[in-house]
Amino acid sequence: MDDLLISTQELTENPTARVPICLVLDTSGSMTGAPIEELNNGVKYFMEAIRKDDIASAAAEMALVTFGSTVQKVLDFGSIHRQAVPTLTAGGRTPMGAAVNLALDMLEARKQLYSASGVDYYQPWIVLMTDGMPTDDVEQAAARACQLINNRKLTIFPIGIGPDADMEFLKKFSPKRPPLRLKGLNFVAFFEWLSKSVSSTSQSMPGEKVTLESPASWASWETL
Amino acid sequence: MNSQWMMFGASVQGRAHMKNEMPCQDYTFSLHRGGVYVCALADGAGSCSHADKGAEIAARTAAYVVSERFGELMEAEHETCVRILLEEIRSSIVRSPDYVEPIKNYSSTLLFVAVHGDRYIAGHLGDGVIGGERAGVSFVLSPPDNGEFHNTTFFTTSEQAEERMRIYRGELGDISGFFLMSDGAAESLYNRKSESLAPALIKVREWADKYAIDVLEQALQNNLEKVIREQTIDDCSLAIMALQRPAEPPSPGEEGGECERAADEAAGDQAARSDRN
Repeated sequence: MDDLLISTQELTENPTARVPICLVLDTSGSMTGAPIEELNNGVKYFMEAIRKDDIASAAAEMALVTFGSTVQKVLDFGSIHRQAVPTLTAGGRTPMGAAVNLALDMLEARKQLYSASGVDYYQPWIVLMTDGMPTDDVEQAAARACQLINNRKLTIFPIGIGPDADMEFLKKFSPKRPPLRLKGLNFVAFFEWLSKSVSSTSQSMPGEKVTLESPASWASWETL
Repeated sequence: MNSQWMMFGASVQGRAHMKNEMPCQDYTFSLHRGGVYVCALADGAGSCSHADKGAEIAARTAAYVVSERFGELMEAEHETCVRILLEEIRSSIVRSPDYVEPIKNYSSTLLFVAVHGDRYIAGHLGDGVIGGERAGVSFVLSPPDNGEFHNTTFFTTSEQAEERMRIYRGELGDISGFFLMSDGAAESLYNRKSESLAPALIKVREWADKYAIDVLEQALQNNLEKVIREQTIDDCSLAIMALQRPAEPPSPGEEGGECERAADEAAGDQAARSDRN
């Protein structure tokens, strides 16, 4: 029976299916101080948690867009092992619409690259976090996001930071998933939840419903 | 001279299901009846409560229907073929013992190949791959259909099943082998970028020219467990059809040929049971 054994060299290798995630984060002036510090801690935690997970680190591809004095592509999609942990600074206004539009453009480009390279991928995610209300026009970005979500092409996690976050504006971007408010400045708990969610998704198979953990550890109770 | 096909298959529980104590949801089945050779394979949908049973019903029903109605299915319109197969499978599900509604509980993909004389018909719904072999060279007959995302596909109970099911019909020509595999096995046996098959499949096909069926079944099981399963966390199944050297007609004065063929057909159903723990 040992003669009838396939060698691994006679197999083929396929790239790991990717989970593309774009963090779209408010770095406006009101985030100065403890909020931006805790947000930086959360992003760092997220990247380190994914790196430690063998399966998730091969699957997850993270991008990071900030909106404050400008809309900035801080990190483009790529292997999390090769990305430097960013240090975000706060200042300026809240151009949320432009930031979401940029994130959607980046996701679209990434999906096209995957398709051209024969790389499978899971449904993309956007994590949208803000502590206020947008200072630009969000209608076009919201309409694009809603169309993708309604066609099951995208999931958005809209998160409000602090008591001044305008949840009604966040709702415009997520017709199916209601926005949640972060409990205090519990960014690390949120990003811990996010990293576990990525891990579950990266191991899911066709026909399998991915059940995410309850957000109770990080979400304010009145929005749950 | 009669052409004969050897058929063998195996399924193994994937590492994810071993960890979660869930049964293997892949099923392979082969049938030789009325001169028709059929191999079928189905992969149950992960979260569905009776997916393992659904896969078994889909594979068995498809094999029996195709063996009984081969001629009709070869000539019918594509939509009619699809409708017949899906209706029969869905009907078998709801009539199954201890059926628990809704029917989505029994969702699975489906792959099959049937051969009669010099013609073949193949059907494919969902992911997994059907391949073939000609003169020692493999080719892809039917690639996976996942829709846009890696963890989505189409099932026997999907609303889009009629639209997504593919049927292939034609003359064998010099085709002398077929390979059916679930997406778990395809992870290391099918290259998604080049849309080509791994050399391992031709190696397995060549074994069929040299070894008896019981040796082949054991070897396939062994390889799925020790080699293929290690490349993925999913259940893995693989079924092979291999054309045998045509049987020589009996020399004048020899007896028993017809009895042997009848006995072979009567004992021709081979179910490769999924490895269920």
